[in-house]
Amino acid sequence: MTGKKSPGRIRESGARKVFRVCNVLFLTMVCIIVVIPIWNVLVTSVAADKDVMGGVYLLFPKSFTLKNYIQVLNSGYMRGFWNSMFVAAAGTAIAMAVTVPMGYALAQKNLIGRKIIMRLISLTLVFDAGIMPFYILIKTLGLIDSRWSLILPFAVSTFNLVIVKNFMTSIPESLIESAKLDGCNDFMTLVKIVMPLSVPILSAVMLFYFVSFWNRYTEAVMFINNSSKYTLQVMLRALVFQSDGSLGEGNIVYDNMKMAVMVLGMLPVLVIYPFVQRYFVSGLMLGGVKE
Amino acid sequence: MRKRKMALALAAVMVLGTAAGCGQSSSGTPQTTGAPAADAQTQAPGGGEQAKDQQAKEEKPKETVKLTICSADNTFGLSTDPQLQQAVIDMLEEKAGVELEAIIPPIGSYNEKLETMMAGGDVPDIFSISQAMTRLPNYVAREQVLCLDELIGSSPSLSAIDSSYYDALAIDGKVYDVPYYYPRVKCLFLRKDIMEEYGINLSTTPTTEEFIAEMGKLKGTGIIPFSFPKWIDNFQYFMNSFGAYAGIYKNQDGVYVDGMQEPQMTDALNYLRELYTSGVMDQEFITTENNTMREYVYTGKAACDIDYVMNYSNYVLQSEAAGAATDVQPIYMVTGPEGKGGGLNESIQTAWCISSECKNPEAALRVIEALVCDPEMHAAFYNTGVEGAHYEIKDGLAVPTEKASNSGYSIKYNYLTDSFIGDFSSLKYQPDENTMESIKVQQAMIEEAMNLRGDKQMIPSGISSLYDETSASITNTWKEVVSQIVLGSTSVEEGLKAYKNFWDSVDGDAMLKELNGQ
Repeated sequence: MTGKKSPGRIRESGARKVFRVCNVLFLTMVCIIVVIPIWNVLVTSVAADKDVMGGVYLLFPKSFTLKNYIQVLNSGYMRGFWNSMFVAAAGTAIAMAVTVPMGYALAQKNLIGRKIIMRLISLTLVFDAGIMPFYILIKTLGLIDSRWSLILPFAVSTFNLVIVKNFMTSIPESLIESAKLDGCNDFMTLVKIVMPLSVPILSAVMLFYFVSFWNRYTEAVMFINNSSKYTLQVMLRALVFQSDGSLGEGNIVYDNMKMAVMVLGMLPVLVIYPFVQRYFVSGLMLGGVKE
Repeated sequence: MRKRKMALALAAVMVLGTAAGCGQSSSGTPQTTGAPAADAQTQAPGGGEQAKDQQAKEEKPKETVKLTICSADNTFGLSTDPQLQQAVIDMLEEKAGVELEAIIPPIGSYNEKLETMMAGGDVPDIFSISQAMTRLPNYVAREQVLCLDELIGSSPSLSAIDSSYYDALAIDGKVYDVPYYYPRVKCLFLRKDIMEEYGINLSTTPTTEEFIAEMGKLKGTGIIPFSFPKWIDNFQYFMNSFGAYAGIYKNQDGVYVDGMQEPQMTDALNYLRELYTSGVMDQEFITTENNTMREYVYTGKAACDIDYVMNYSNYVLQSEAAGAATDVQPIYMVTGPEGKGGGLNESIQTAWCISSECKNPEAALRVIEALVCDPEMHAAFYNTGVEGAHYEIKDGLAVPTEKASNSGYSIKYNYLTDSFIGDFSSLKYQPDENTMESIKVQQAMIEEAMNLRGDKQMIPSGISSLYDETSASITNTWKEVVSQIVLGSTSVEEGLKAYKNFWDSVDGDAMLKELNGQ
């Protein structure tokens, strides 16, 4: 009990040790709660039909088969994948091209009507017209059955715009002034000074946009008529819900198939996430920094 | 430097994705001769197949009728693969002599999509509707569907369908739809292996008391005696045993009354509550999906459930697939104290309609005729798909192609028992002996269930504005009250009192007067 003090170590009080143990236990529990459903999804997705019938919750694999993955990949998955990729990539590119200059313009304190514009933009956060007016708008624009109906209406997200605008407001004015002294016009200042300084927030917003375009479902069903233009989310959901009709006359789809669909549906975003994660985290933290 | 590389990599991914997406539209439907116009417009010039397609289109007579057709993705050959769906569309175009633009939404979003299109003024020329008893009156009231009396009269094959099936959905004596299968009836399915093991002795028409007593033998065995789905409408099966009807209906005197306020409803609700408290009914039914309920019986986790009679063969096949093979016994109705009862009659659930704005109703009817009356087309559209695309014939049996098989497709023979077509012997393939055997049994069950089906009524729109405005609320409220009573969160008396309060709040008595023309 009279143990020697080890050099360089801060002695911890008993309460602190108890706190740390509790902390570790609590976080371990949280981790388990988070990991178990994902683990269950993976285990179920590779199980045989008879092992998943009747609402079984699998924690340990009873069997192993890749037939569900093969089936999903052969059911037009790649067509849906490329449709989704087009919508997500083109949508993100267009959304960034619109959001960044708009955010920069709104960050300028001398912009005439800045407050009114911001209030009008903020209104769209509160009010949603609903699917019917939206459908009629898309129809009037001649975008029914066009992939652009999934891109153009979502070219600006108010939430993302506010994040970008707030970040750009925090960039020291002196930097922008010195750029202008060096002969940069507004566009050059945005491209050469503001955007390089905003990489963290731009990466985060890009990820937000990509995920939101990737996951778009309702609009894809409502605005697209030709099934060869369906996005991956529509196609995967169609596979999953085929047997959920009360008549039971569709193909019978068991949970293993549904889980395989889930894994393949989230895979592209999971692949992209690690590349952007570094910027994503720092972007969120930097969003609140002010000069 | 790393930032630049990262930016370049991300830009490359976006450009590739964009290019791929654009490319898709040009190569997505290379085989289609009757492809939608939108597709044709997006196709890039050049390419052998596309040139052939173009040539084929040019060779078609200029007066070719072009129509839109909308049906969920559990049709068009039971596959979600657009290429396989296109094979069915091609066959339909050929049979009906029209060019079709098919809209095939996922079944889970079909009603939402159709409603949105119709409300947005894009009514498809030909479309199928589910829950026709509820939806059709609304479409008729909005003048969005065409009266088909004359057209059906001019079609020998459609006129040959029993008029009672048309009458089931007729509004003011006029027909606005073509049903494509017999009325759906639900019965209870009871696993025979469990019956034998636990000595459950039930006929196909037991009494309410026998049902509780015999199924009660399974308590404490770990087997759910009676699995039930979360859909409250299914309770009507047991209400039939007491002559009760949930909702507004026309009684024997031809007067519209509210079934929830009839005295026999109290007896029916007490019985339902007893089913639950006695442990016979699944204690977690309120969260059970149809699929889960079925799987419980396939695996032997539950002994009994409620399902469409036409799903009988599924129970035989799927219980075998689950490693718990058994036959199932139907219980067509549970007889009440006064000898009443009946299977759950869901009448004509799905039907075909033609838009009131369709420019060529005769051509649209030809499409429906092919779907409903042509053996090859009917089987292809609802179950089997097209030879060469979905299946190949080997030794007289249809075997799924690799592509179809990989897309989740499997051959179904439901058309043999569901459709109005009596003879499918013209098809090049037939089911194997075992399947044929279970289909024969299923056919006999359907006939028996049709004889023992309970009541089902449709209230036409446009008679009472009060009813038109509140019918959805009435349905939601009785479902809520019944589920609360069964689960025990309120007593039968209190529940019915709460329902009466709601009834008064929507001026229900005035609504009944309007319906009765008083």
